[in-house]
Amino acid sequence: MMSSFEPFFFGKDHDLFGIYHPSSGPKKDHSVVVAPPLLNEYMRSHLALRQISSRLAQSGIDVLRFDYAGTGNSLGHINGVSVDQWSSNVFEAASEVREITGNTRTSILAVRFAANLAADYARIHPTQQFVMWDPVFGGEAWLNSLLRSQAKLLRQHGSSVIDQSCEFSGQKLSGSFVDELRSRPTSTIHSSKSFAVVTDSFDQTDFLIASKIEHKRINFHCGWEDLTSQVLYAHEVVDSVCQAVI
Amino acid sequence: MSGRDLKSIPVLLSEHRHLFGVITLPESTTKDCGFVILNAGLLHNVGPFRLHVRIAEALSSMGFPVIRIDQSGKGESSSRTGGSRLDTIVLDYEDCLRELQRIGVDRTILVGLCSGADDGLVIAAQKDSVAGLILLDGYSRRTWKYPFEHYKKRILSVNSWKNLFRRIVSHGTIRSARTDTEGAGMNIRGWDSHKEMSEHFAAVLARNTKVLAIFTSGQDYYNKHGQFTSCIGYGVASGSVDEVFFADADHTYSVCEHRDRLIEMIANWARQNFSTTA
Repeated sequence: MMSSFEPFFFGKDHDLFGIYHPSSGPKKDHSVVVAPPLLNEYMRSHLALRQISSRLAQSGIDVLRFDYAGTGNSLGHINGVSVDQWSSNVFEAASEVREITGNTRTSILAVRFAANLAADYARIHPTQQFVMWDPVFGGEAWLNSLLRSQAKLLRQHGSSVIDQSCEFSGQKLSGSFVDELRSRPTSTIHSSKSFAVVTDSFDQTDFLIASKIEHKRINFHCGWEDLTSQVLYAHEVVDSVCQAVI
Repeated sequence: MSGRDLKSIPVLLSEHRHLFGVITLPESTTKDCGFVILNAGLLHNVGPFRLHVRIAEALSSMGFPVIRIDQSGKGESSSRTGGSRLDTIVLDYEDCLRELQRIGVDRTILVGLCSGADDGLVIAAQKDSVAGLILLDGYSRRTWKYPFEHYKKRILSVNSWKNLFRRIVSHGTIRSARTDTEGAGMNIRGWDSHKEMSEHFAAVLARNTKVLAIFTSGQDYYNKHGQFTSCIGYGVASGSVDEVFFADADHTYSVCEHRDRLIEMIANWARQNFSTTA
């Protein structure tokens, strides 16, 4: 029952919230940074990411989960951040876990749009391992996904209370943020050690094949565009992600 | 106020440090009460659409310290071994109270959405230290007026007629136009009997605990202002209970404007009822 993790703030502005799961199994020279999805997708997948982190820690891997600036328990508000800043947060998290552990090998687990955010890191660290869960590789693609989920909310509530120019997936995003998202190029992970676990909610298989990213399909519906608050019990995804990392 | 202006500290509570929370401290604590925000269902401490973070910031900027907790077995917190579910809920609360007492606060106001509201009621019924209770889609029960209101709304709703027409066209029968709410179970949250729930409320109100009960349209047991107070039968005369029917909002406040309005309601209620300083 004793806590097996340490919560803390880190980053150059000390504004990023992280949870460090130190390895509890036979120690490996291996760390994993969990780069979570965003907005409603994060709320729903939090349990699965915690389960993955605990499982990896038990297998001897040191794990750092974190919240991007302006999201989750990190400081600031989402309307005051930029996509580039979130991408930098992946670098900061990787740097932090290296500093804490001294491990030489760092893997990134990127979920949904985190695959795009982690692509910048992959360009500089192409030999590291990247495992993805239902990756979204482009800013425009993710924005379109948010718009589709927003359309469902509009049908439910009507347009009078929702600011259609800036409200996406239950959060208000600044105009500059949306522009930045729209112009963010579709980036694949340029790593020889990349692997994707995809579910029935994933529709970019052609892109994975074209990018030569090995993948495994799970018969599970995540419903990323459903604006529900239902927690994902994605046991098969958790198993497959852990197998891919270990 | 930006979250950067407030002091957020992650904490691990309980003897075994298994209980995770984030305490948000104002620049100077000017109140003699602190807020404890419980989990909304199975969602972690951040709350639906980051609602709990925003509530904590708003209350903290008014001078209240706030703990957002992951109760045992939820969010980041592991389970407690042994003890009943009710024991666990109360023990978790006692750990939060001890943390608040470290900064000189020994009265609390509990905030809970959905199962968090149910847990808040259980705690408030047992603990003298609870001075206030905010129930978001908490317990109520259908009164004899419920079906009248339900069908009145449907008859007057253009969308209901559109849906009915659509279903008749697609299924060829009026039967399939039944709503999900009809015949739905009312006790999916494991509520005690109405008698026991009323006793919980009686215990809470007997010690002058202030209650703010806000209901949305995102549940299937409440649809008219006044239903809650008539259902529990206490507190109306004493002015301890404020009841709000926020009919536009859904259960998890997925629309920004609705969250803003909810936070404003909570802040106003706190200002009116807990203005005393430490």
